[in-house]
Amino acid sequence: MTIISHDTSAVSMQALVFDGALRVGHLPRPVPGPGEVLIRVSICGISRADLDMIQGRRPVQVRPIILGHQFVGEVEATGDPTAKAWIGKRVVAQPHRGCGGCGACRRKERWLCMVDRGRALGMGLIDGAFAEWIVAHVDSLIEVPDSVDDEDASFAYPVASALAAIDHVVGPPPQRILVVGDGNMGLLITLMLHAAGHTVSVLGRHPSRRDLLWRSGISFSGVQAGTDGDARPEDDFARGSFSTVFECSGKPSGLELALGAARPRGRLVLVSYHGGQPGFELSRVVENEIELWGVNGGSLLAAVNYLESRKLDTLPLVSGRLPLSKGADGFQQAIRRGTLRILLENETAYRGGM
Amino acid sequence: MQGVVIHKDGPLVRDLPEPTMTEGQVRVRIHMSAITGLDLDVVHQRMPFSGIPGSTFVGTVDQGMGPAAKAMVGRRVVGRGSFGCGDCEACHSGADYRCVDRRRPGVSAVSGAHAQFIFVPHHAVVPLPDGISDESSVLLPLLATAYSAVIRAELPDWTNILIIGDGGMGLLAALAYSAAGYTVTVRGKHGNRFDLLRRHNIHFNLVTDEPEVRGARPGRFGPALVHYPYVIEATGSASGWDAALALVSPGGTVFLLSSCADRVPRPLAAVQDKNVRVVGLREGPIEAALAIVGNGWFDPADVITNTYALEDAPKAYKKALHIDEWIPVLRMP
Repeated sequence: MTIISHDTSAVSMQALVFDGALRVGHLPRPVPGPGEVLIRVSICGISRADLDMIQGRRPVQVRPIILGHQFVGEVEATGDPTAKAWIGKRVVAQPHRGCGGCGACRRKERWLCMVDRGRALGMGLIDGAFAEWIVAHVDSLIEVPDSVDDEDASFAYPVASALAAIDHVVGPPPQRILVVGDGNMGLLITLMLHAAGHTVSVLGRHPSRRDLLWRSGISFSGVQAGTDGDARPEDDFARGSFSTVFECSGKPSGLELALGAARPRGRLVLVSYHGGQPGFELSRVVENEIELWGVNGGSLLAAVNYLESRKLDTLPLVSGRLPLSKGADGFQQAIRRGTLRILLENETAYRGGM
Repeated sequence: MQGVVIHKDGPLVRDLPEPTMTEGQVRVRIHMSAITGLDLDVVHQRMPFSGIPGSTFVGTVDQGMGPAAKAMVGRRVVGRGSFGCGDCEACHSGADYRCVDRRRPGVSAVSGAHAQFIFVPHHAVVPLPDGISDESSVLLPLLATAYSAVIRAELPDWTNILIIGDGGMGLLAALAYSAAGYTVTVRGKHGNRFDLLRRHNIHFNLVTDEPEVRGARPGRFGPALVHYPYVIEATGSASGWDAALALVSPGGTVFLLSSCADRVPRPLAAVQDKNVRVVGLREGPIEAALAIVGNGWFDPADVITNTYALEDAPKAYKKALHIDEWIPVLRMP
């Protein structure tokens, strides 16, 4: 744990600390060790995992701790002479450290390592990026090209998951695809599927999403009576007519709708996390011979390349940008229903990119 | 005709009126029908179906209505486990597994085969070649389902497949995949399966207390030591699901064969943590099952333990619950 440093020359830094509650405090700046670099954080987005941790749905092993893993920043220093070339580069970092020895780690898919799931930046055991500086391992770094600005780059982590999820669509576009859930992940996947040329329908709870999607020509349907959707779920979605369904609501009711909407031998991709929830009856999967895919992160390198291709406009997906010193307010906003992504900016950092 | 009815006090054999035939239907005089786990779910009213039970059959077509059905009269046939409505886009395009209105004899919509006759559309039966006996063909629909992982996923040659559960379905799956050249391990609770499996070079893990599965729960005892890229869950119980997810490799595939009539929700966290694919298997092509039996590696009849007369069906259902029974069959008069 890097909050307590024995380096007497340590410079202090501002950080959003979680110890049961969130508060902004000043901590010694971490010192990079061998194989590590010091990154000046530029932007860090608030993710669903962060909300799960502060609301107690996901364990936090160490307190106090700094959360935040969806960040972009600039390498300032290194504790390793062989890593000097990284200094001055804008980077994102793969949060999961992994064991380094298993099949997943050897394939450089450390986010899939089952041996060491704990060591991950900002996931409750190692300090994350709601701070001015963060220390990350040099193996985890991915350089961000100049054409990708900080705001876009802060989307690398969710875009990586979305790409891994979208990879499960079979057949050339256009396929008839349903996205259940209109939160951050649901909308991100929807826009990316649409950009890939698929025919996407969205089933969600927030009528306000309708305009956002309408501009791209995507149909939106409300799940509750009176939400003024294009269609009612029982009309269109319960019949099993979609070749692929993405579950992005994270709710048992969303899972239920998603199972009903996939056609026989269709695919259901689980994007939102369903840990700690009742789950589903296996007969629902067997009865219609559904193919269910779990998604747990993806390649950040692929995500950065995707962002560089400029197929995605992240602007409509951001609900607000707040300075790190107002981090607790940012979390308050992010918890509110219907809020999309909240970005916390390190106001002292150099603004990179375009 | 004689047939089983599900009375509220249990199953009974009764004289039942024959239904009137409709266009395109065949009447099959049944020779033999198995008592499968799915049938027992129906018999014990764990499924919302109240007609005649019996999901598998082999028999002879003795009547047909309409030209296509009439052309089958005299053929020995095996019933398909499920079939489409015959009248939608999916059915017309030859992909009736995509039909949203599928019917399953003895399970949903269509009366089953624990009777002297069954009345089904002509596309619900598949003609049998002469060389295969009734005993060897009555389990073809189960075998086809068990073996359908090969058409739902690309299994690499020689790959390791773990089958959890050593009931009838688990054993058929083990025999089929070993016949196809895969390296098969069965994880089960019953030592009396050992001889059959050893004869076919199938590894057998006898589990009584399942310590390694308990130990595999992340965060409590550390990760499992051995993982399989492909796991087939054929127990139908909650422990089977947990074991499947504990023993599948990250990024691997779990195939579900169980009917799982208990309606208990199963947790999904491990599916997501391990990036696992879960594939439900309900029906496979009978032709593929015939082909795998045709290579002579095993005889599906080896899984049949006892034969009962139709009038003894209630007794057979009781006996079928015993662990020494694999799959019993009913022989019709």
